[in-house]
Amino acid sequence: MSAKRLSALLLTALMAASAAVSCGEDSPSEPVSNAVSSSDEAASGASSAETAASGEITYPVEGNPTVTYWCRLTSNASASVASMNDLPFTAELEERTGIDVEFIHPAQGTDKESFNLLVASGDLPDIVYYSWFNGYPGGPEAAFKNRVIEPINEHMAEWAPAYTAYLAENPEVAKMVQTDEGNYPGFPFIRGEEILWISWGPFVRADWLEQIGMEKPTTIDGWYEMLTAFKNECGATAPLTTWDKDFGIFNSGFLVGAWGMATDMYLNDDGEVVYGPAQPGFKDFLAEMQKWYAEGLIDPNFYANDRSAAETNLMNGFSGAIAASPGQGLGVFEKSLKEIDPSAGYTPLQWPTLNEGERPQFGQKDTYFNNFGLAAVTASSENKEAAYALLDYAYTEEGHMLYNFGTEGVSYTMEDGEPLYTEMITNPGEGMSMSQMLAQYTMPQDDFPFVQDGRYFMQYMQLDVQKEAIQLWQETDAEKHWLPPITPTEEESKEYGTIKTNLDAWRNEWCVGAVTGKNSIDEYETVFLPELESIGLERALEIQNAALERYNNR
Amino acid sequence: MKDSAAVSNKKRKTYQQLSYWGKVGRDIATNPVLYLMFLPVVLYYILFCYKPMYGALISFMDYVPGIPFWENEWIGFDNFVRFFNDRNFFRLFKNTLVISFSSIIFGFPAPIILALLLNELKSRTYSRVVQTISYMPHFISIVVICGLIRDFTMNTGVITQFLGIFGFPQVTMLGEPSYFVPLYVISGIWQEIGYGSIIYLAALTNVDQELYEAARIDGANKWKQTIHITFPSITPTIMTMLIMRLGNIMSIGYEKIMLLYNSQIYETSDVISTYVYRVGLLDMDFGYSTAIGLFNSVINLLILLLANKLSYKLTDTGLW
Repeated sequence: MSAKRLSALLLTALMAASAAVSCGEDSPSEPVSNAVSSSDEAASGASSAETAASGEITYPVEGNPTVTYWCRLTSNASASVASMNDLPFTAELEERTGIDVEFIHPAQGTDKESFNLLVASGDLPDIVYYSWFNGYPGGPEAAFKNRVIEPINEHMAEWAPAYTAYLAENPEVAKMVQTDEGNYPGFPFIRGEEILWISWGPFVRADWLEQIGMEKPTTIDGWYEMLTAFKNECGATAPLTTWDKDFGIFNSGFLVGAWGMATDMYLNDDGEVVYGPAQPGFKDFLAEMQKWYAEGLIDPNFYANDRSAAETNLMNGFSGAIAASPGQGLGVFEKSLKEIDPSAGYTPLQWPTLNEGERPQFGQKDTYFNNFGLAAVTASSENKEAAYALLDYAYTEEGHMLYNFGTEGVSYTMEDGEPLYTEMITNPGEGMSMSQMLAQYTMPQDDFPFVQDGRYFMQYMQLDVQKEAIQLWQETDAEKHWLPPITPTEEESKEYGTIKTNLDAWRNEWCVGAVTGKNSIDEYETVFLPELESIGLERALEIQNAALERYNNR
Repeated sequence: MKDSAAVSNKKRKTYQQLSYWGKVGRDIATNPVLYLMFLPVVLYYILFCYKPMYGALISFMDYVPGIPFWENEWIGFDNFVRFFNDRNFFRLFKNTLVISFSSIIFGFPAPIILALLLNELKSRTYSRVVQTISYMPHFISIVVICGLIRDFTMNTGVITQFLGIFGFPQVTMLGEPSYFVPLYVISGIWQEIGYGSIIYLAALTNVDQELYEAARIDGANKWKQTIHITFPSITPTIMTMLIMRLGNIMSIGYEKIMLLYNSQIYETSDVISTYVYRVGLLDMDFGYSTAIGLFNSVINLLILLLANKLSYKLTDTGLW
């Protein structure tokens, strides 16, 4: 405890000192930090001479530099700490790298506004972790041009050898994390294995299925039959529920995928970007959903739901089906339900198709890098080399273990060459969940710049039903339709942003109305489509397809 | 000191003869402590209200955060034209006015009525209890308030169920466009009625008690006393509050609406501020959102001036 306090004190002192430095005064009290951060070529050349020679950075780095780091505080971590500075993970990271990290977090749930205001303020920390590809208008290239961040190309071989090596071994990833112009904006969050790409899928009450004597349905008709039986025989008032408001019940192509489309932009079979709601077949989908809604198979409040509403429905037996995540969804719900009724439980279903025996074309599947975060070093940073060293550590072997499993002997032990989380993590006491414990010592649950390890995931998926779900939900061709991290040019991005915002708002407004029966399906061609066109659908697709072409040419 | 005092004594102009700044100077000299207390307020306005005003310039710019302010490209009124041509412009404008006017028509008199009622209460304890309870919602986070509203007005919610006894349809109220404005206004009254009544209660304590005595002797009953004495006595306060409220007509906070609305009721609930939030802040289109903000402020100012004029015409009281 006292060591932690001391380090916090030290950190504060260092912060104050480095603040003085950044004010433009060469503070003599902070010579070390200067040596590392100095833009003076001679100085930086000298300090990195040995690292360049060996091709890797020697940790801990010399001089105990301090780096400021803006990122989101995840909900798992926020359950126990107010800032990542207070995590045991951070203490370990600081000790190993010899770099003091000062985290700055936006208020919970305001990432986007806070990021925008941070950039507008012009007063940037050393590292900003954000979705630079789609979160900054015009993507990373615009951010380079506006002197917000800098490409890391120039120094990456020297200052970030581990990440450079990783990219060399994984050209597929390298293509995703560079811009159309071939610049690398920073250090990404990478889902290292296929098993980690699954984070969404449908599951239903297993005991209800048994009660109504049905096999697991695979088709839309089967689903219809099942939900009807849930309603009539199991007393469900909202058989199919959701925790996403508006049109989110159909996220990731749930149900709508059976008709061969998603509700958003995706790649069609010809490799072109298209907008799902404007595709042929979408009307049939809406008509079917209108029927379901009218018959009381869909939660009457689906468009206004949130997590707590869904949980209420599921736990009280109002609902028996939902599409959600395997951890916070299936895992949490399964455990809570078992507490209420030990004989009840959930079972995962495959993504439904239109015809029996078809392979689902849509569903949720990420890839290595799915527009998630990227830690960029800001152009104004005076600690660039230290910032690179800190970020690069995640891609070293040691760092990989720290980020995924924590500290050996504390949060994990090695058994037969496999890292296993300790009892403290997997089975924490009252009031703590495994997620919250993981968030204290490790990072694998949060998008954060490192390579996520599949061995974490199967341990986190503690219940058999979760493991089964992951296997079942993988069986789709969703990756064929996945839209890579493409970026409109800076000029196009504002235009695209406004069009896309309006398209989605109109889709939510009209399509939800169509499902609830407020809007007539017959007006799909006469009202819905013309409005999409007048908002600028064609232009939006033009921009996206041009961006896709640039991506393919990388 | 003494010399100069003697000199100025000779030449000392009367207060009326002084120029404006001369008067200010004289006033400062006579009441230095008062001015010292006033200083933070002045600084507040200069720093937080006047200094940032230059930022309104970005509504005429193709503003890109990150590059130096003056290097941004000037684009004249393009941002404004874009807003007026927006497909949602009329809906946003209409909804903003409807929600705002409804809030004023139904929400503005509510605290006045509560204050008048409280004023008539004989039991001090009871009055205190009522006041405390009615203040409370004001101090609850808007997120919690909206969570309550959403839950209570669901098809299975307590309010919907209760109204069902009287034959009210059992539907989720926040899914029906026509229910949004009443819900917004009524919940707004519930939230602010107690807190809003404080200022009127304060005004009521200043009413001369002798007036009531005289009225009673003349045979006026309670109702007549309220109409002819209480009400006129607090009219200046009411008018001031009303004009200030009218000056905010275009600025409905987006938080409460964001927390309540969904795509089903956009047609009555989407207002200018929520749109600005979506397009401006989330899409990082600062120039555009500033233009809309400026447009709002101009309308607010015009209405404020108009209301003030009208108020002078009708009641002889106003802001300045």
